[in-house]
Amino acid sequence: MATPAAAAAAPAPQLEGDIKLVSEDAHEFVTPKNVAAQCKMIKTMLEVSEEQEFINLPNVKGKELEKVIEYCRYHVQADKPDSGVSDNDKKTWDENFVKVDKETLFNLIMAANYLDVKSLLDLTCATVANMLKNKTPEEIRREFNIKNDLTPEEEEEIKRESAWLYQ
Amino acid sequence: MGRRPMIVPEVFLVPDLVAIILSRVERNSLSACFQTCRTWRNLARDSSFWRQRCLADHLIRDDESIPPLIFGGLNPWQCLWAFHINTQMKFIFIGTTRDGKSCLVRRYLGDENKPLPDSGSTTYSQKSVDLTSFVHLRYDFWELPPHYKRFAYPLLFRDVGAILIVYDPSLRGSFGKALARLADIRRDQQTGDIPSGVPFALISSNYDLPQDDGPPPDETIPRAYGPSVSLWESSAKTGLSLAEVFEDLTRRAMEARIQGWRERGLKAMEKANNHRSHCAVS
Repeated sequence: MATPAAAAAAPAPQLEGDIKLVSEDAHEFVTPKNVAAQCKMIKTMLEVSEEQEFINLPNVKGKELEKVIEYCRYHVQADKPDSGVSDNDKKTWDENFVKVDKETLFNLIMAANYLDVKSLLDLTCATVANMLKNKTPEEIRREFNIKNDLTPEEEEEIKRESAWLYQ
Repeated sequence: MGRRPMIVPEVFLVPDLVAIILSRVERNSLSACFQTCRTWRNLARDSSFWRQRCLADHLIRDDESIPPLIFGGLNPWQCLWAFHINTQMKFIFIGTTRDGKSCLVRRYLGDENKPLPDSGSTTYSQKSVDLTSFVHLRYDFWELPPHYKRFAYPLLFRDVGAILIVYDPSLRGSFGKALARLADIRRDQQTGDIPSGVPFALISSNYDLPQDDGPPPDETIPRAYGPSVSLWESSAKTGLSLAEVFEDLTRRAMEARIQGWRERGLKAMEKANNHRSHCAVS
């Protein structure tokens, strides 16, 4: 974390104007810099060089990048102290935002992780956590296509070990 | 709902991401998650995952050190998490003399100057211990009169954490009375009136006074009851080993609690599995 002195010495980077974000599958999104900077990874890149006109994001597909930008755009406005948007409204918006198919949700987690948008990562992970509720191990594996690579003995062992969590 | 992905989603192969997801999963669903596959199983045993979980649940500050109280084969973070599930800890004191136990409790609470309660009545006091800035353990101390009848307290023993039997080594016969109390309780445990697994301590309250000059107490008798009984020498005047007694009993009470949760959890999981497979067939 920057100390107050260091923060005063380095002026806040200029976040005016737009930046072009280019996805893995060559979709281009012209985005206000202050919106794009919600992604910590992009913010760092903007701080390193102010001159660049576009940023290549080789780990994100256009579909998810568009969603991430939509999320950042909304929160830049809604999170302003004088936005007049209530916490409840934001919550409802977030809930609707993650009403997507599983594949998109998983890709969004990967994108939020890569682009370093903590609040979106929290939101999407909590959504998946909710899908894991009240399921048996077999149901989880079936639903998410996870391969069981534990031996029956190991399975029995971890069951006994973690049973104290289940009531 | 949407089509099923044909390959394992990448998210589930990245331990860091699974850790974030599992640190949001509600308590009851955690065990099933840990049983799913190796990557997820490994998190169950990873203390950095449990640290993350404790932070996500706001049980401890980022810069705070973890309390050293550990038990039941769990790592310190799991122990903190276990404490937060139930922060109440009930200790029942049974005395063989009039005032011994009250003096000990008062000493532990730092209330030595308060007048002693009528020794024929039941006394209740409380102590709060901060495990972290956010998790506070609440001790409930119940002091029973020397000639209490257990059936007069049907609910009191139900969720007891530990039972402390206090005797006075300067009085002849006091140790024998403590043993008789211990035998009573063991009988109640066999009939299920007191939960089995509850730890006991036999505590001598006046260890600073001259000891009874008769034959020394036969410590092999309580030891024969097994590891659930511990013997302590203490003194309300000097506070000798009081802190250790309470720490030891807390640890052993948590061990018994975890064991109880474990047994209940296994049974409940069995039931859920049977129910699901039954539903799947019909």
